[in-house]
Amino acid sequence: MIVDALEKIWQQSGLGQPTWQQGAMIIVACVLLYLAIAKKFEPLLLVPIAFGVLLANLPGVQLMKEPVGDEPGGLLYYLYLGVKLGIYPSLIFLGIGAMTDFGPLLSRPSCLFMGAGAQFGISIAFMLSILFGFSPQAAASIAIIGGADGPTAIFLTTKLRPELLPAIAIAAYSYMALIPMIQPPIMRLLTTDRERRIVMTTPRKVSKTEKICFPVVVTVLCVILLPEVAPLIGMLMLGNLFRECGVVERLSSTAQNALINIVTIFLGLTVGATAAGETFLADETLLILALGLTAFVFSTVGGLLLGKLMSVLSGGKINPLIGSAGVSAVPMAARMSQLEGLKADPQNHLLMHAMGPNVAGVIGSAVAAGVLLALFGG
Amino acid sequence: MTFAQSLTAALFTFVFVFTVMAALYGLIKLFSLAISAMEKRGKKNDC
Repeated sequence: MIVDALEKIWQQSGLGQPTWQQGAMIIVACVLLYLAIAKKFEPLLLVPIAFGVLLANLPGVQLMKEPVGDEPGGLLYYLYLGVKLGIYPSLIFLGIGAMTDFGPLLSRPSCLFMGAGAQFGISIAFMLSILFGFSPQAAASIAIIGGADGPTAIFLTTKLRPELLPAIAIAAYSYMALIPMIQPPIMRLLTTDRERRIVMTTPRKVSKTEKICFPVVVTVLCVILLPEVAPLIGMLMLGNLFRECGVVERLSSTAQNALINIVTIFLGLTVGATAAGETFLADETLLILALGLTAFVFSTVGGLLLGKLMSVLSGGKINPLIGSAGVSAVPMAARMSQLEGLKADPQNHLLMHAMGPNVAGVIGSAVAAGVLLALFGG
Repeated sequence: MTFAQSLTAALFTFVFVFTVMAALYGLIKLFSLAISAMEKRGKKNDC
């Protein structure tokens, strides 16, 4: 009887059925956990993503199992519906909107052009992906990594090529975490020492009325032009209206704390859980990672070139270093502009100035996603 | 999709983003002017 019981346990457990892909993915999960915990690379997202990868690749575990007949599906299958239906990215944008101060952008609206220039990598990566034989839908999903915006990348990929989601989400968040390594060499390469020393003047003070009108104006303009991105832009601007209107403190506080934290757990965990070894460990994944990096690099280049152009047009009043912050990734990219500015001149604080292009990049990448969705969506 | 088509799509995306940002730039400028004019008028009325 004991032998029978042990045999049954052995058969039900995952001990007798591991594959090499599962083993490799467990190692990948441990590496991601190490990067998140020890190196503090985007820990808020990488910890749940890595744990999702771990759970999905333990042999015998069926957390992502679809329901069959009366038999219910796995826990993560139901949680994943929030990703599949585009709910989590939109709710994360609500929280981001509630956390974002668009004041620096409103005080210097020309920053919008740097946010647009920093979407350059999306175009380059799209063309390269097509050259490498990807379908237009897959190429658009890969290219959006250059927008440096995790929720936007997830939103677009689930609509165009959901099977690429794990590779694209992991690439997007990993590169955002690696910004301190990716951006500074490009910033130094494309700017002169004199340009990096430019001290920018304090921007004008933005009135409360302007801050309240801004989310309404952006929503009306962007959603009329690109209805497909209404969930992203609409939620981003609703969150910002909560913040700025000053009469819904509780809603603003919930959106930027409890809600975004809960959704981040579900999003990270379920995105990670889609990375099953059998599908993730393919040559295609490596190619996606390489193309994503290319997109990121060219977005930084585009932002910097726009920054240089605006520096010239403004008669040397704009420090081109703030252009690289146009690649969304709030506030990490703006911090890089600040650090590089301080290296050139210890008195040169660019953080507030860089926040303008940085938040413009969030709008820019959402608009780019809307265009790609209009071009290649169903 | 041919390379020429992908180039067109990529350029279209980039130009469209720029156009939306330019429209936003114009609207923000317009609104800030209108709001500052309204605020100035409000201050005059207070006097």
